[in-house]
Amino acid sequence: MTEPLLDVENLRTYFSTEEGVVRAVDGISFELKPGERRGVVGESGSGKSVTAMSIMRLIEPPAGEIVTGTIDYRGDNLLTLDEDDMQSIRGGKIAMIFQDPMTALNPVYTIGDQLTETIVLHQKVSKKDARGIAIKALEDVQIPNAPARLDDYPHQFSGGMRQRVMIAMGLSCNPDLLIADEPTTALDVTTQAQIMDLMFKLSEERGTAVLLITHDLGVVAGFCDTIQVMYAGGIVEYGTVDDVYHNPQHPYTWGLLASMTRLDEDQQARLHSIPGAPPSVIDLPVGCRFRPRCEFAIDICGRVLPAIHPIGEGVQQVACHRAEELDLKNIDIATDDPSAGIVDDTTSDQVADSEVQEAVEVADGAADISGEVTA
Amino acid sequence: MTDTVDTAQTGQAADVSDLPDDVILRVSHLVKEFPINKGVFFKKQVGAVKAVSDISFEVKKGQTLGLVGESGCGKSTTARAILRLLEPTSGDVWFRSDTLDTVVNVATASKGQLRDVREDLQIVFQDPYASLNPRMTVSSIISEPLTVHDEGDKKSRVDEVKSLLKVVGLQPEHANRYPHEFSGGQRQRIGIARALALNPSFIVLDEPVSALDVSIQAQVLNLLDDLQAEYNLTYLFIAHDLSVVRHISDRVAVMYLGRMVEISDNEQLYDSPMHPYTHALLSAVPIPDPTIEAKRERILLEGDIPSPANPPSGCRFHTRCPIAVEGKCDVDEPQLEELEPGHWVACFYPEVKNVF
Repeated sequence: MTEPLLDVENLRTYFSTEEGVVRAVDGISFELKPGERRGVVGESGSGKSVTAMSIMRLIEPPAGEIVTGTIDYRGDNLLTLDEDDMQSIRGGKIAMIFQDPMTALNPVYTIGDQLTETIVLHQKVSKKDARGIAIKALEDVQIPNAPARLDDYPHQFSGGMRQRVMIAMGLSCNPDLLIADEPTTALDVTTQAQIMDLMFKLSEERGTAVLLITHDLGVVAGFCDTIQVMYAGGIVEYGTVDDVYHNPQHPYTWGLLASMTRLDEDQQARLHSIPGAPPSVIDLPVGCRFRPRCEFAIDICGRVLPAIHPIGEGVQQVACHRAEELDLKNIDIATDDPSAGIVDDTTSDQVADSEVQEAVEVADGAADISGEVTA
Repeated sequence: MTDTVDTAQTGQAADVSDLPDDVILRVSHLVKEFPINKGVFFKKQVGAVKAVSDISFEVKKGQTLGLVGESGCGKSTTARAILRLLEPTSGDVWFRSDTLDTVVNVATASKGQLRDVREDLQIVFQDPYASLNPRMTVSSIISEPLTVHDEGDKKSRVDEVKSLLKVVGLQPEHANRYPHEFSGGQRQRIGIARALALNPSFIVLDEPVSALDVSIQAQVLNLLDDLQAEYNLTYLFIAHDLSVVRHISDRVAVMYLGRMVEISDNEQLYDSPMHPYTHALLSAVPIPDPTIEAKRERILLEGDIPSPANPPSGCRFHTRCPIAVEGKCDVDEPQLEELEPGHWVACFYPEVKNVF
């Protein structure tokens, strides 16, 4: 077993708002190996971006706070480092690129100014040498005519080129870990293909680990080694991409994959859809957070938050009470055949409603859900 | 799917006597340019952004035409020009209106005619956060088209709103709430209810699910399917997501930099695409299956999409095309030609390619 590069243990990041406490990340644990490409997938509000911000310690009190947990990077707990030490890790060892390169770049400085600033800060070189490194960095991300483009301003670049600049900036100090938060969401699909291809090559060549945060299961399938699926602040499933895509164990993962339109499938039939919407992270349901939308929910799901646990032979993990008995892989979604195990949407809603009632009654008596968490 | 484009290309557009009964919309030689002006006091036009250049297509009643392309290809401008939300520079938009019981040229229609036509011709916008007035209740948002077109009385409008809410899968009790009280998917349902209020026959859907999470996307797509079947609606579905378009469309048209490069039936376009741009576009779309992704070869295009203010000479795609031939593609502009029945391609060197 290789030493993990990053070891996140029981991380909880909360935000206080007027409506109440937002439990954006609520007790997640995971490890990342050196050079590993991990996809962090979830819908809006699932806590995937806050996970990234927490690792970079970009959560600003009093608005938000890392309540508990440790984030070990090569043995140092990032959460207890002083600001100076954190500064040298941020950008130097762990770099981050954001969804919108236009807002992440400063419009009044040239690309060169912004690139060399990072390099001078982290590599302790002269300005002149930094310029050379910056040119090399731009060439590495395949920006044509790099020496001249160094003196251009961000608005002189197209969206795809700006994201290349961001990647160049992120990788200029040879970090061990690159956190990419929806790096291609704002880009067109042909540009996305260029950028993902580039990131893949650079990560292979340099052995840089990547934490790719995205809502797009398609991008993860081609880029990542492993995937963790997040829902309402928790990790519900983890595994290699092969295991998770071909043998999803959590009803949410299964439902997400089934509800996707696919380019290679002529789906004239109805799409499978997950009923309802993700819960508010202020007012989380008692028990399993996916239960109100889950067609397989039973009594216990409304009372006890399932802990994430290993399943099967490999590294796969799932947070579902019924994972062992459900055979999701063999439920034929395409045919919508009830005998295959699919419950009709409307009936499952009704069932779910009556269960909500029960669950609430049960929970009213005995509910400290945080006590149930064994992540 | 016979003479979709050639009538539009050869025939006089003013004559619609040949418009088959099952065609509800014929767009013919549609052009939309935005002037580029210089000077503060003495404004002078120094150029034009050629957003849509000579686009022609037809949509059959009850079908869905998917219009795909990347940002800046002119797909949304096309939609807005069809609805006359933007004044077309030239070209015709023939629409078979139920209300007027005749074929109307929307591009030249008078104000009064346009008002009547819009009872049949509606639009759903991409961003459900920006397209609903935050200070209006759901009830007033949905009943506004009814009020504007003077349909029914106050009481009947209230009933209509309630039944529309049920149709799109919301509760009648939601009528008195404000848009901010709803999630993205629910807001898009409100936008759809508003478009349905006047009982239209044709709805333009401009990226209706792009802003929604995957699990919500499927709900809205299913709703659109159901509504189409129930009310015999015709859709023009504009999207950049080719897998969504594959799911919902009967026919698919691909645009690049203001031009239509390929149009065909859904299956043909995905199974045997012929234009090199369509190849690149399809090969770039990720498939949520690691085994397939590992085996796929991507066609990576060089560079970025050129500016529509100054489009390349000849074929507009030649600057990025992997198979462009010098002296031909940069000189002559290819026109759409019917290479297979119903399959039109604008390329000098078309070839069928499997991109999965």
